Formats: sequence, structure tokens, C-alpha cells
Amino acid sequence: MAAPAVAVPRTGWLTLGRLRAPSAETVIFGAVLAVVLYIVAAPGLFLLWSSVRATEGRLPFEAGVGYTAANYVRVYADPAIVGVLVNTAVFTAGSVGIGLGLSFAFAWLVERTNMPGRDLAFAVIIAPLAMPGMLSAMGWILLLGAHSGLINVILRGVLGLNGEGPLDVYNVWGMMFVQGLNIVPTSFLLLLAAVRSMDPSHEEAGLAAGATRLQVMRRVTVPMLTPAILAVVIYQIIGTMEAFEVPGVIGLNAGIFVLGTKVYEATHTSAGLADYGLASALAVLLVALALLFLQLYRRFTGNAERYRTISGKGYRPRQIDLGPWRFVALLPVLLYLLLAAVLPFLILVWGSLLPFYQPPAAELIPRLSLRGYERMLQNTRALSAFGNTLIVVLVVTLAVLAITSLAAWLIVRSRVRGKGALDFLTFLPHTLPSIVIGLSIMLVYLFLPAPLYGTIWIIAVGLVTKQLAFPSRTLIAAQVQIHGELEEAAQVSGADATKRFLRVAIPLMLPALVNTGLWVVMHSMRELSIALMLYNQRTAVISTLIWNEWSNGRVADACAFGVVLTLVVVALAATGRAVFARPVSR
Amino acid sequence: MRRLAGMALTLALAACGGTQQAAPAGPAASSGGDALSQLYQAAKQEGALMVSVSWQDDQWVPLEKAFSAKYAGIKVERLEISPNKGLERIITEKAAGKVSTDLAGARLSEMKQVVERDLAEPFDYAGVFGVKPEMIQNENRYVVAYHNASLVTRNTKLVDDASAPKSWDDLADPRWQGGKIILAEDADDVFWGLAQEWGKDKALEFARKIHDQKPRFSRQSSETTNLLIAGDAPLAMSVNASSVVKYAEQGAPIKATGVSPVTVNNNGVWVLKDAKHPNAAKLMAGWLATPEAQKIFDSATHRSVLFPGTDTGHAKMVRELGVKLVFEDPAKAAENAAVQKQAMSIVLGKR
Repeated sequence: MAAPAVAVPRTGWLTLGRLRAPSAETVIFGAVLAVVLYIVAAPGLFLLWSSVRATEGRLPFEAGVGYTAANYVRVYADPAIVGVLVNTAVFTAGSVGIGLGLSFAFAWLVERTNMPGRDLAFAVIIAPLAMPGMLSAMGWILLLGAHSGLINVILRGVLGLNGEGPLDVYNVWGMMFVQGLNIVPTSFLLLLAAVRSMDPSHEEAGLAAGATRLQVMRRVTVPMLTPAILAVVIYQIIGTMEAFEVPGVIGLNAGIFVLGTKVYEATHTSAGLADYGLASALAVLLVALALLFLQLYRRFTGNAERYRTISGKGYRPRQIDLGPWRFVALLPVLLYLLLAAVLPFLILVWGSLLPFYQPPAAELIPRLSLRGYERMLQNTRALSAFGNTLIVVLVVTLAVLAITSLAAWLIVRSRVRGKGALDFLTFLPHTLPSIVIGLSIMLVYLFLPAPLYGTIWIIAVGLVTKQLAFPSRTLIAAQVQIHGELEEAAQVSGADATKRFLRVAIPLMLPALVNTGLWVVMHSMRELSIALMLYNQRTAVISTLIWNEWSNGRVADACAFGVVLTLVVVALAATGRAVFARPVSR
Repeated sequence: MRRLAGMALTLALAACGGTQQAAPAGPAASSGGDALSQLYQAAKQEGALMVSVSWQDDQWVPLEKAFSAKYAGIKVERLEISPNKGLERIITEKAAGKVSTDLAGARLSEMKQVVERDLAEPFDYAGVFGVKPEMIQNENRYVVAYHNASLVTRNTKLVDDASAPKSWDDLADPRWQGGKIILAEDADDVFWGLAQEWGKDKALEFARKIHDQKPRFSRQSSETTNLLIAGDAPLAMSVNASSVVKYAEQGAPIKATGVSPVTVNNNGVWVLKDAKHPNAAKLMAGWLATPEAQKIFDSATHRSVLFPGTDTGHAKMVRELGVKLVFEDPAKAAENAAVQKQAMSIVLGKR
């Protein structure tokens, strides 16, 4: 009797006679979905649930707290919300526009041209990611403050002006400019791998047909990078809408209130408990927007054939020779590096050498000392915090890369039902305030019989939850660029799903994986809100240590930690690029 | 699906309050030396103590050393955490019946939440330790460890003695308009003191005047102090007296003005009802209110209570300013919280 035929219908189930066994793809999908659901479900459900709890002066789960629509009424029926949403829309559009423009230009210059110092530029462009948020926000005040900001002091000296200024950032333009600069490192990383992996034959065909470089850029390069660009736009729109550091530092002084300010106010009260109900009702708007954007993303990238830049035909990404213009190309990069990385870092260094911060002046040089660094080295908690950070960062990075690379592959490549849900779930944590994630995880592991509470592993769980969104966006965009024929060839040759993933998808995604890994490392080091909720006296990490030094007025010590952290991250980024970046032909 | 149901069940259980631990037995209350001795013996039997306070190393370590030298045999651990985050954690842990803290730090604003939930264990600190009764509040549940006096402070390079403001009304002078005054978003507590002294309406009117001055804002008090010192603004509306002393000693160009009245906020500790080591917690709480602990705290951190008759450097410095101190009244905690929130909304321009 002949053996029954083996067919692979759309649903991914194998039909063996009357038996239906799931395919390897379906099993992998089920496992990944279960893991992501486990990670994301608690904070997601907690957000929805607490948004309808009467949480003024209470935590959502406390006895006597009833259900209510009051949080939504307080937010959306307040006449002020219209102004807040308009401000948010303007702030977000401007910031994302500035950030996207700069990061695209930098990604193209670093990956596709012979601009000098590309490797160092890569490390320094992403270096601001290492700087803890509270220090970088303070850095902007110390740089741009009307009276004593370093840039204004220099400009007044050069231009012979008196009084204050001339730069005044306390307006919406200042907010957009600073936030735009802030989002460059993440956007740069997201775009970089996509730019790197482009098959240049499409551009060469355009040039051969007589188009100018600018025309090729506009009509070939940018359209082919649509998935990556859209991924940046979606990620940064949500992130900027929730941002509170720039709106807190600059917007507050400009009288401009945005959504992020309101979320911050609800979750950071001067006294009493955070209002989780109000914060959650605000965040629900972001969740709804995320759903909408993801739908739009799938519609735009649905006809994926036009975006495939990595195919079965051999190709080598080639550098564009800018000629003498390569030095001119360096100027905007240097200006960005100066404003966003070098000056804030020098402010940190200066601050670490004084007992209290003063604007740079020659008369202070005799007062400089390394006391902040000496105290750091003598601080036994610092050594333990560095050790904890190392372990957490390693575990979180590996876990996030494993989950999101699998998820991205399944979302783009597989035909299983439910991959849209997986796409949404991996992005969902980006819309959840960190403090909501922290409290929900604390609650879950206090009740579940899993020995995580009070250990560094609960911090790791929190960080994995928060960090899923960016890697998933980046790796999905990277997967969209890869032509399916490569895996089809492997399948025809007998490779099962596991082999196709490990031996075809992963090597082709490697540039994106490296960049994403670096991003996860840096964000894990600086993530504060979740760590503050979940740490204890034995599980402090670097971010909580810096926060405690900072909030207790020990500026030199906080800056010293910040300097060391930034140097470590720059070294990691430079090493990662040197070791893993594939040489590009000339 | 099962995990979702499990999560829903845990949340439902949490809403019902979780499990309760039986409080460990302590010594019978009696007065003075005997009671203190009994308390120490009971604490020694417990052998450990977990403290959650916002105090940093240079504030905590001298206290811990002195406590351990006086009351040997008790291993002390500390979690550095802000009072409101610490309270959130305690409430959450209590819902699961897994409280890890014995002694927690709090301001009076947090104590309102603690008392409402009946989280704190009362104890006769005044009787056992012989400390001043005004240092023990909320019906023997709260021990005041130190006071924060919020002073109007100037950068001495930008504002000299002659032009420094002499009263709160001076802050409304047009010469301080346009970013010349800096205050932290979380420094709203200065307004309850003004309300207690002037009445609510006048305090809110003053908040409007400050709003009209277009002040600069920072997110936290520590940022305010650093920006003042850096010369980002010449005046700060609310800087802790201890910070003024600390930075001035290091040569920072910072000095308190004599603007009066001055709001004085309580900072203290309370013992959890379900604490694993309640006697050790009571021992430390009561000890913190003693003149011995107050002197150690003062010499290490320039902090102490400011009640009349307190003989510490911190108290002397504040007395020398010649300002009227407005102390927090626990009975008015809710009222104070409402007025300070309302006032800050006005200053921020939200109303």
C-alpha cells in the first residue's frame, strides 16, 4: 500500500492520512506566542484593568477599590486635553521629522559611503543611549540654560553679547530640536542594518539609466527602505508621545504640556501613591494608536516583493565614493556628535570633578578632584551593582534577541494564523508606562509560586518585557528585506523550519541582530523605572545607584558613574561593530 | 489560557487582601529602663532588622554604626527607596502576605495612607525612650527623625544681601520675573505651610502671583539646588536647610534668605504591624528620636528635628535665620495635601 501523500496546506498542518500533526513552524509559533503572551499579558491586562479602577489615593488591587469610568472622564472630558493632544501631535511630528531626517542621513553616510571615521562615528552616534536619562536631561539645561548654559556662555563670548541667551530653548522648537536629537541613536540603529543590506544593483540601474544621485535616492533608495523607515516612524511616534524627559525639562518651562507630561505626573507624585488608573487611561490611547499604526504598516508593506533587497543572486554592498565631498559630509555628523554626544559627555566629566556643578571656568580648575571616582571605587554597593547589571544585561539581551528574531521570522515568513497578534503583542510593551509594567510584574511574582521576587531575575523579566518592541520592529524590517526564495531554496533542499531559521534567516539578519543587541544592552543599562520598582538592597543595578546618588544631591558621584557607563558602552559599540560588521567592498 | 486565568485569580486574590501574618509577640509595655532593656532583649532574639528609607550612605552609615555599637547582636539591612515608592511596595507585598520590611521611612503625607490602612504598629516610644512627646505622632505610630525646613535661597554671586528678598511678597516683585525664581515640581509642600499660616485663599492668591512671575521649574528638589548653585536662576523658592549648610560648607555660592514663615516637613519612620522583627524595628525607631541619635544625624547630615529646644547645629542655623517655623499638623494632613496640589497646579499654569 502506498504511503499517504504529505501536503503542506496554508495552515501549516501536515496531513498524514487521517492524522493532523502540527508542522514545526506551527509548533515554534505556538511556543513563541506562549512566551510573548506570558511576558506581555500581565502588564497589558493590568493596564486595561487598572484604567477602570477608582485609584485616587489607592492602588488598583486594594480592597474597597471599585470599578469606574472616572479615569477616562478625568482625562478625555477635561477641556485641556484638546490642547495637550494638539501639543503632542505638533511636538511628535516635528521631533520625528528631525530625528528621522538626521538618522537616515547618518545611516546612509556611515554604511554606504567612504566618509572618513565611519566606525568611530557609529560608536559615538549611539553613545547618547548610554547616558542615564536624568543626567542627559540635566545636561541639556547645563548646555542651553539662558544664563549659565555652556553653549550660551560660549556664544555670548564669541559674539560679544551681554545678559542672557542668545539661544532660548524653552519653546516648542527647542523641544522638537532636543527630542529630535534624542531619537537619532535608536532610529539610526533601526535604519542602519536596512541600509547596509540593500543590494546596490537597483541604484546602479538607476544611475545607468541617467538619473542623478539625488533622483536615485528619492526614487529608488528611500522607497526600497520603506519598511525600515515606517518601522522608525511608528516606533518613534509612540515613544515620543510617551516621552517625559524633554517635555519635563523644557516643556514645563515653556508652559507646553503634552501627553508624556500627564503620564509622568500621574506616576510620579511628590507625595502619596502613583495614580495607576489615570496613567493607564492615558496609556490606552497609545495602545489604540499602536494597533492603528501596525495595521497601516502591514498594509504598506503588504506587497513585500518591492522591498526585497537581499536575494538569491549574489551581491556585495558597495561604498559610494563621495570624493572630496566626503569631508564635507563629515560636517553635519560632527555637529550632531558635538551637540548630542561630546558636549553632554564633557559636561558629565566636568560635573564628576567638582563637589557641586558650576559652569566651566578657569578659576575652578584648582578645585577639580577625582573624589567622585574615589568614592565610586570605594563604594562596595557599586561593585555589586556593576556585577548585577552585567548579569541582567547579558540575560536580557540573549532572551530578547531569541524571542524577537523568532517572532520577526514567523511574522514575515510563516503562514500561520495569528501572526498579526504576535506582531501586536511584541509591540504592545512600548505603549505601556514602565511603572505599570513594574507594578504588574511585582504583583504577579508575589503571588505566583516562582522564586523570582527579590532576585535580579525579576528585574530581568521586567526589562525583557519593556525591550521587546524595538528589536521586533528592527528585525521585522530586516526580514522584509530578505527575499523568500532563499528559504524556499533551503526548504526544497530538505531543511526543516529550525534549520531554515538558524542557517538562512539568522546569518542574513546578523547586521540587524548586532545593532539590536547593542541597543538592548544600552537600554538595559539605563532603564530606571522598572528597576526602581523591583530592586532590593541586594539586587541594585547601575541605574538605581546613579538615581540614588543623583536624587540625594551627590552630583559628582552620579556624574562619575555616568562617565564610566558611557565609556563602557562606547567601547562595547565600537568593538561590536569591528567584530561583527561585514567589510564592505569599494 | 490557564496562565491568564491564573493571573486573573491572583489579581482577584490581591483585591481580597491576601494572607495575613500573625504579629510576633513583644515585651509587655512598662516604662523607662526596664522596658527598654526588655525591648532590646527581644530585639536581640530576633537578631535582624530590615529598614526601607530614602537616606543615602553618608546619612545612614553613621547611624547604623552607632546603633549597632549600642545595641549589638542585631544585623541591620537597608533598602534605599523613596517614601512613596517604599509605601507602594509595602502595600503590594502585604496584599500577598510577603512583607519584607520592618521599619519604613515616611513623610507625614505618606503616614495618612499608612494610618488609613492600619499598617503601622503603635508603641509607647515616649515612655520607653524618654523622648519628647512632640516627636511621636499619629497616636504613637510615627517617630519624627528629622525636619526639612524649606528655605527661600539665593545664589550669592547673583544676588547680594541688600537685594535679597525679605518677605514672600518680595518674590512677587517684577525684578524677579522671567525665570529668576526656580522651584521643583515636587516642592509644592511650601504652600501648605503658607496656607496654614495665612489661610488657604491668601496662599492660593500667592500661588497666582508666583505663576505670573514666570518661574523656572525643575523636576526635583535636588535639581533645583544644583541649578541654583550653577547660576541657572538667582533664587530658589524651596531648598532644604540641610542642603544649604552642606553645599555652603563646600564653598558653593548659596545662602538662605530670611523669608518667613518657613514650612517644616516631617520625615520619620514607622514600624509595620506584620513586621518579622517588630522589636528590633521599635528599638531603632525609638532610638532615632533620642538626643544621642539626633546629634549623630546632625553631624553626619546637617539634619535633625527643629522643635524648640533642640540643640543641634541644624536647629541653631535655622534659629539664627530668625524665621517663623510652621510645623506639620498630622490632623491636617489631608487638607494640606489638597491645598499644596491645588497651589502647584496654579503655579504651573494648569488652572
